[in-house]
Amino acid sequence: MKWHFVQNVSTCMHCSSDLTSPRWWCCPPMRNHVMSPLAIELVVPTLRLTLQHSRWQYCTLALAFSPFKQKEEEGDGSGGEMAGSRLERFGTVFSRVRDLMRSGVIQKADKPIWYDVYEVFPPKREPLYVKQQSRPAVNKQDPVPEIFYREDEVRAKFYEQYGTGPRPLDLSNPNFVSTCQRFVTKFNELRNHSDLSDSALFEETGKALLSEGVVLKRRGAVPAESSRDAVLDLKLTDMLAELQNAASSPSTHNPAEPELPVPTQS
Amino acid sequence: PRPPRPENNWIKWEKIFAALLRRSPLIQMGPAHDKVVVGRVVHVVQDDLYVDFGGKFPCVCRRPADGGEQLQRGSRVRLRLLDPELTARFLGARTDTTLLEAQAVLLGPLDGRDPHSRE
Repeated sequence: MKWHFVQNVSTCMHCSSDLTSPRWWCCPPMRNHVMSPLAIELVVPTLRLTLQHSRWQYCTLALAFSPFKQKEEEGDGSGGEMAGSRLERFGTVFSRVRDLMRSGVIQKADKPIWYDVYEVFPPKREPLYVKQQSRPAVNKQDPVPEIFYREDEVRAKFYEQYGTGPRPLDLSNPNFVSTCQRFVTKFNELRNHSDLSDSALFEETGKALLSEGVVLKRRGAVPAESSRDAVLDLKLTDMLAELQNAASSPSTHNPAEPELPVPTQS
Repeated sequence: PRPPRPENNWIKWEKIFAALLRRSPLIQMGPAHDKVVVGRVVHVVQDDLYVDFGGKFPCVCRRPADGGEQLQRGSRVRLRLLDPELTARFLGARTDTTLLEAQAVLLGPLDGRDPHSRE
């Protein structure tokens, strides 16, 4: 992008145009646009003076040029040194200084010392600013493992079947024992004393808690649907077994038969 | 020697953080979705009630139309917790943006039942 500035000091309020030229040449209707190089090329030949337009927001800056400082990098973004600011990180240092010199902002006498050196010996990699595109690593392994306890299995099953339970949880109380926790302690007790399977123990714990006065209500009608699907599956496999029954022994599909309940009512 | 496993009998190893965490109501709750908790109204702004239920952030609920006038600062309510912290990651962001509040549905005031009684 080329930056061109007015040479003379008599500026209008809105932009740096010379007051002798018609106002609409220097203050086009578009207010916040950056004039593209093409637009500049079109507008420039029509102007009598070598007046070009800079970015709109910089128009209000006083363009009384201070002698350009040696170190362009130290542009603090202040008004007088609009050209020296690294606000946009356009191009490289060299390209900025070169363009400023070409447009006449920087006089030949104020050329930085390193300019000639850089021109003859440019660096291998042009020091353009490249934005870091660091995407979060998708395959990075999480070094912090999840915290799981043994009783979490029981808790998960409890919550799935009974929901929160009859009593709401009180998280503010550090010694709070929820219904789920009572269930878990009872479950572990029963597991130590008896030898039943987990699902049977589950029912037993429910009954034990009921005897203590804790009423657990099952939530949702999910079990019914799953049993219906199981029945359908059984029927299909049963039929398949019967079709293949020509050679194989009939005992394979006998165990399936008693489990086939009465056709479910929706 | 390691202390015995506090699975069946909750031995009072109160000084150990790991034991405290294991017995804490936060771990007892597990995933916070759809859990009924008890909260306390800490701040009221006209129709919005800021309820603290003991989680990391309070939640903001609208005052219910019926019976909502009784809910003032300090009243205990029941909530169905949906999200303990409302977060989302926007396009182009490296980390999530958080709203610093939880999301819950107000179920109503806590009944006159004593919450410390074990049923």
